Amino acid sequence: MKSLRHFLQNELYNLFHSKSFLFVLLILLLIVTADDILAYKSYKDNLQLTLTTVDLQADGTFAEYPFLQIYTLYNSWIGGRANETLPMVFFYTMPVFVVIPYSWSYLAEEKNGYDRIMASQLGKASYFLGKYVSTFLSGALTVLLPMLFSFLLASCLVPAYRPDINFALYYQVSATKLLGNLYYAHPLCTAFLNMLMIGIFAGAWATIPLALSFFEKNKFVVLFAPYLVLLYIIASLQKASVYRSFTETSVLNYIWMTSSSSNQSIVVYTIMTVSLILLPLAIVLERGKNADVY
Amino acid sequence: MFIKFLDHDLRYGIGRAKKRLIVTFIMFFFLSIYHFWTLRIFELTDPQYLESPVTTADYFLALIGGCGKVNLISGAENDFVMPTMWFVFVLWMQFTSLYYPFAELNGIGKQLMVLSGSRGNWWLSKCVWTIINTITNYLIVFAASTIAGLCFGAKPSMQANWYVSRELYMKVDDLTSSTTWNIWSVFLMTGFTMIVLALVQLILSLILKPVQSYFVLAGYLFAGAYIQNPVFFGNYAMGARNALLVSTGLTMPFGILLGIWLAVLSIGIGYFVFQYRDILGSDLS
Repeated sequence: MKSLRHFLQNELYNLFHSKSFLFVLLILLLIVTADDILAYKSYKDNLQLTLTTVDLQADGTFAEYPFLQIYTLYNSWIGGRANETLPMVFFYTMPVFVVIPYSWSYLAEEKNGYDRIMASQLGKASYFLGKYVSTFLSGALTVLLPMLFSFLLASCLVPAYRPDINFALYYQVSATKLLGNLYYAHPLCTAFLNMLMIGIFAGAWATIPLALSFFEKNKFVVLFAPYLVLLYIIASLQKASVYRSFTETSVLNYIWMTSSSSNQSIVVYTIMTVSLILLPLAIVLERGKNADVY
Repeated sequence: MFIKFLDHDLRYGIGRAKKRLIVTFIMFFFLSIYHFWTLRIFELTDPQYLESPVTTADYFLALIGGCGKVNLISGAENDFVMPTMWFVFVLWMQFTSLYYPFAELNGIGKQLMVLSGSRGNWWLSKCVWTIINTITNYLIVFAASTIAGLCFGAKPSMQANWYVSRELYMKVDDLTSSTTWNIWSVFLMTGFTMIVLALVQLILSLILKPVQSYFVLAGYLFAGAYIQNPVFFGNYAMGARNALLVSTGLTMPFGILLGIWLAVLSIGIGYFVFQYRDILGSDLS
């Protein structure tokens, strides 16, 4: 197991030093920073409006109820912003950018023969398990780092007022969402749970090209065909269920808390997530066991 | 020499990619069928929609129409519905022209370039290939939706009925007609936009590498779905945002001018970059 740990360390070192990862991270950091600045502007405009329109009493408190909670930390970080462009770009391009840094690494190693060296040193099962774990981590980290940065930056700029159910329209989080009820009771906990859900999805999605690379050797097909298939499935289910069912079927709407989604079902979400994790894992381990690497 | 390059590209990039063309047809044939499903609902809920005969243009518009303009108001209910079908269409169209040019360059392309002694011809040939490939795929999408319509009893016509606006989440008050639209110009504008975006992707691939360029272009297209603005050129590929259909839509003459400018710029910059970049020693896959 010590070798596997070293292998994982080495894989993560390679990830953090790859140009693709740094490129994607740079673009995502630009997106989340721009989004946080826009969120701060909205907060500041609302604060100035409140200070000019609501009178202060002698003791320094507001004479009327100030609508300050409409902009809080929890709807100012990228995962909590509603009705905005950049969060939509972030969430809907996620299946594209999480695969760019490392999902094709097995294909590259297969081409240059590195897989044979590692498989003979570690054993096939350990090598392919290590490959799955490192690819999962690459996807999860690609999305978690910018989100944590966004959360920290937003918490420096916007106060963490507890979300008020009376302003639910500003948060776009209703009881129909998976984390809808928790959001108003424990917003910080909800934000981190949401990050965890997003991280799991990103990690699991990054492993799909790894599983596909046993069957297809074209890098572009391996990286992007799953995304097109996902969009195809979402479009099909959306069209097939229109006026017939109100249960949300898009996995992207489940992980994006403020999406304009229908009723979210814990059963549907669990089935989708478990399938996303287990199917690629089973393929990687099974095909890896029989792979002709030595 | 240019003709030889182009002949090679057409033969290998389109002629030998029959599988991809067949997949395009099957994908969009089945996506078009969902319109028939929606019509069955309209029969029950709004039978007046179907007083005039359903046409093949309805099927095509429902497939590539996208979504109407979104009102971005903080504190209001989000009325944006992701036009996923439109994204399948545009991202697939971009995907079909993504990898051949640079896969060829990393293969036989470098040798051909050295033997011909002309980088410019190689680049121009890839630009023309991109245009022809996009047109081919677009016509296949059109054929797939038309055949799907004919299979389900639609009348062959380019007159689209106004009820499609409901499927595309367009605002009734903004519609330019309460009966039908002749969508030939929407058909041509969408194809033109796809060509321009494919050329932009080609130059981005040269500068950033194809994988990264697809990511950047996808982000650009998603942003455009939310914001109706000529800056986001993908808007011109949405029928639901065309001034022919809605009073708040984007006008075609400006779109055509902008598109020509973008296309010429992409080809020109690419030609210049390609002359001076270390192509032979680098991996552009």
